[in-house]
Amino acid sequence: MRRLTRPGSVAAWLAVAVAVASLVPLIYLFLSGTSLSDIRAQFDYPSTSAAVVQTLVLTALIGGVTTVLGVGAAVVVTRTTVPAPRLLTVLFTVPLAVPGFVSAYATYSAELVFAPQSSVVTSLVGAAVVMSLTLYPYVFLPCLIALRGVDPALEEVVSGLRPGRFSAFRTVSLPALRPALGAGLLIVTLHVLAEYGAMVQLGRSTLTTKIMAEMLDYGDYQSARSLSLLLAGFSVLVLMSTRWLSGRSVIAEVARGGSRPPRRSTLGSWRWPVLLVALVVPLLAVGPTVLMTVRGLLTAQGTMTASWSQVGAALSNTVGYALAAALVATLCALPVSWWVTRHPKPLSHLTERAVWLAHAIPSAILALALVFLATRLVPSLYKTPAVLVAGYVILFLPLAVANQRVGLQSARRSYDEVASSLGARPARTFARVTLPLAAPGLAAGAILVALDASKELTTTLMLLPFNSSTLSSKLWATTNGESLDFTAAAPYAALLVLLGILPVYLLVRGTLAATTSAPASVETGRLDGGGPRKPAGASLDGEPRRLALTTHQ
Amino acid sequence: MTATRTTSLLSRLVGRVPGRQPRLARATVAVVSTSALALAAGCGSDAGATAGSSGSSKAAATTITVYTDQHAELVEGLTKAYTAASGVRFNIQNDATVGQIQAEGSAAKADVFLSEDPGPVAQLGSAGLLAPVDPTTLEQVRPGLSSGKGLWVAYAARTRVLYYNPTKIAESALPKTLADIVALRYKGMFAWAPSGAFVATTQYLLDTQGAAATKTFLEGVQANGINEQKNGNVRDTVEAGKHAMGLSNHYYWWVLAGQKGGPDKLTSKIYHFPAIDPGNLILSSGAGVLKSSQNQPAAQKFLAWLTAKDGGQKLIAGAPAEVSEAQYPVAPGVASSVSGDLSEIKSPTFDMDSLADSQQAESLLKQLGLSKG
Repeated sequence: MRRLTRPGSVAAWLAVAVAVASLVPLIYLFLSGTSLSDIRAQFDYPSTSAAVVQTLVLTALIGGVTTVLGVGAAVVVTRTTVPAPRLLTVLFTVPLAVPGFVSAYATYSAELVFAPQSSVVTSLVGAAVVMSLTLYPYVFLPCLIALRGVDPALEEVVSGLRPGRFSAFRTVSLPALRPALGAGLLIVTLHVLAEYGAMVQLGRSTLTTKIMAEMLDYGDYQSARSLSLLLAGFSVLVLMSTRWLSGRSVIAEVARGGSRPPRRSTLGSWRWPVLLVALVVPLLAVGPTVLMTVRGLLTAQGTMTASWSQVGAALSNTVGYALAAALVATLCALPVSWWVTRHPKPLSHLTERAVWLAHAIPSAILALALVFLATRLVPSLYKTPAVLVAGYVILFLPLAVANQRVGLQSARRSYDEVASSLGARPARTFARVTLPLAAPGLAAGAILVALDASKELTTTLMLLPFNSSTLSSKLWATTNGESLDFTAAAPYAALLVLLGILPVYLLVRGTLAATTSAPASVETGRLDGGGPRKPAGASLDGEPRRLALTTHQ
Repeated sequence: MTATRTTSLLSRLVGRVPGRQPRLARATVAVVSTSALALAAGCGSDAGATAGSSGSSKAAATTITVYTDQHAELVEGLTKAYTAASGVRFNIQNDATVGQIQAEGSAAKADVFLSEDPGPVAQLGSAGLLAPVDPTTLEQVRPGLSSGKGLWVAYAARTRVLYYNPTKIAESALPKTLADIVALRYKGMFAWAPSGAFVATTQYLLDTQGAAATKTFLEGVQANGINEQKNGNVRDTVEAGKHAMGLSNHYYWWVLAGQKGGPDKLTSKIYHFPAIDPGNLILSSGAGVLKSSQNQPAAQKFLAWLTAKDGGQKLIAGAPAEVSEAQYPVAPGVASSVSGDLSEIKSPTFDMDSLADSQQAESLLKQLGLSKG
């Protein structure tokens, strides 16, 4: 027993250390001076409360639209006989490859070119839709995993007991969706709270745009920090409420174990209309960016100052920093996700939640925090890739943790116990049993971190080594002050999107593979006697299934 | 890293925190910094591989670190030209902010700050972070454009302008003064953006015309104008014919003209108010030397070149719009090949150091709900 607890406590200490590092921006806010009276003073201006209201309205709207799009897309792909479901899955995920501010600029410019008198894109609802179209894949992917993982046998049981068209979906699939939706919505909401570039371009005033205006337009850093504290308060509320949405059941407990592909509703002659409607979503999401980029590449005349060596350097830096961030984030996230899945208790949950906080503060604040700390603690590393990568890691760690949790939950704790009862040491159990089973989750987390790191702008601009560049910093440098014109920027935009397609494809392939057949089934089959994975063995592995059934009785 | 070194680093950190922290805060700092160290150490392995720290191929070449929020192409053009002329190399931090310099504290890296608008460089000056600029450098520039206290020197300038779309409004129908634009006949016809230059205009109006008149004007802008958020958007929406007119800065239009192959390729036109008017306000881009710089003589020499007729000014005057960003050179007798001579601009003079603290303008704009963000 001691053997089992010792690595647990090491992981716990490591997890707490990682969580505290994630709180760096918050701690910086306290250290460098914030005041409640400052926040109160800001509320003397009507525009501050208006911005707070708009932040909340946008969060709710975008949360709603991404839920509809994300869940809808997942249902269409997994539960209907729509043509080409795999291709559709890739297309639904592609918006992840486009940085939010690029897609906002592109949509805005496309409207200006093709419908100059219209102001749809910059309206409240228009902006919410544009933002939702870039963010819904964060809901789509976990819902896809959850829906694919539900055991059809379970649904058959329910339809046998309680006939009715949607009763099986309601009783079995919805509870499976809930935690997935919670995880996706958490990422979406925190993104919305911290988004700057896209919000400004879409003409929206939020708490984050206020914070950035205090810094960039008024040079009032004290007010910026104080407002950031308020924003952090909102994030805590979001973190608590999505935890409630996730409930006590967790994605993978319900998601794993499906041995047959789930049942699909026959669409019949509706197959093609449904496909067409489904295609509209990715088309609207990436269409403007592709259109404006191609248009820019074709019309640019003599203004293309980009030399191939510059583009090459930016490309290799982007890839290098993104891979380093993915690797370090994966390592840093492991103790957190391992601890919270293996020892779910208040302290481990609190640690896991703490990791998310950095994700919800404008990344300019995180970057300033790292400038502040690095120049004082490790001055020799300041303005080297180390601090930049540390920034990416803190910023995107939650993506790694969330996906690792899914992976680690599919490697059940009981497997560890079986391995240990057979005499395997914890390290060996981890390496031979847990890690292979958790690998798809680990990989998905790493890919998402790399993808987001390659798109990140604000942190990059402040922490990038001197005279160095990435694709997004180059893209930004061509903006000629404020507006992306898609002529000089086009090669960088094109490369950034093309670069993003590969991880998106890997992500989708990995997700599909992980949910159709357990990749390490041979290994586990040996350990658990193969029971849980056989279709007939529903009752053997019944704990999570009972959970799914009983919660809705 | 040894324990004692870590402790001394920590005490340095805590010692520099404004306002003494209670013990709990110190403990927090200790935990955080230790884990931050661990994190940084974890990443450190790949640091050496790509770090572009000044590889000195030439023996003991001087390197000047420039922090700037000016357009990247212009800074790149200027620094490359200076490297070619003098052999001095540069470390460049683009999109730099006063906040980054302040967060760096005494470890500040910058030797020179090149601002886009007068605000940030004036703010550095009033925070006591700038060393005085050599008087001979200040004398190379037209009077009234640099810091009155001699803390920074103008090296380029932009002006406020009105863009208009002739398919929407005839030139003869345009307002004759900035104040005119809020007249009822222009209701819903003009775009504006709450940019730094707009804040500067507001501060100028407050200083010269008082709070009541400024407020009336701003309320007119709010009621009759359309907020397009960014000066670049103002240009694009007027060009697209969405609005008849737009308040913006001169260079956005010239940059677009350069991209499209000439001013005649644009539908919209640029308009300067006919008499001396706040709508023609000139705003300087300023250069300052950081007090903390270990490179004072080299930095001052760079500023002298930047403002010299046959140095930086020549480049700003002659380069194509995508490099010069169509900025006006500020040395007397030097005119931009793109946007013309600054002496043709009928701007009132004002002390741009007053923009170090635009609290008054900021507060008024926020009260009216006209602020950015």
